[in-house]
Amino acid sequence: MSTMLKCFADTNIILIGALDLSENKISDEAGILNLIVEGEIKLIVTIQLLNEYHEAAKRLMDKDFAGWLRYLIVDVSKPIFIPDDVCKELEPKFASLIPKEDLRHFVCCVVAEADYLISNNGEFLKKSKNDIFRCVTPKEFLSKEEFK
Amino acid sequence: MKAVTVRMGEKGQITIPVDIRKRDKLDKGTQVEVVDLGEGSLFINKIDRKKELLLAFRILGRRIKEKGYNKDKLIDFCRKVRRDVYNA
Repeated sequence: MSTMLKCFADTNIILIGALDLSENKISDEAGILNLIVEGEIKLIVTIQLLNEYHEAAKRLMDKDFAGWLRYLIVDVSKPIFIPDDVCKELEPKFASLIPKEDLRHFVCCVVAEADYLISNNGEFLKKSKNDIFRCVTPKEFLSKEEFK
Repeated sequence: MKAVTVRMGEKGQITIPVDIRKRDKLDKGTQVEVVDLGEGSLFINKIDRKKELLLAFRILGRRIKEKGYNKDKLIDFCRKVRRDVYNA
């Protein structure tokens, strides 16, 4: 791959991928986690997204584990950080199209000039459809030629 | 497994033999952890964050399974977490 793809990985990708990895199941979500770990795709994050990863892990495990996981994701993937302040400025432009709780994530993809927004949330994918970046499921993402 | 003898420098630095450094890809800047086993025994371990992250994912995955979540339930769970983080 010549240039690394810039991707937004929704929280459901992390959790479903983790479940599949623990069962040694070769799934699309587990495949995406492996791409993240191996540095073959570039993650795009905001503090809000990292807080979501943290909150989900905290509810399932505990606070210490959630902090450890968040630290490792950042340390290993070396993501592109999009400041929340920058997103906030652009949010009014898209507020009528995207549900408010998804808006920060959508805008961070716009700011980062993302290649892909990857999610299993059908509603989020449908409402985020645009001409700037592609909104895809893990299966659609991995069907790209370079990952076959 | 083999043991090698090295001498400690003025500021507590030790030199890991070059053959071990080459084999285990211990380059300048590589992070290692020194584990104190007590009674003068130390254990040096190369930190591999990639392995650690995969382990963390697996631990999380096992907990998710124990709690009885499947893919659809996880998607709903994430929607709720998103709403709560947004409203916090």
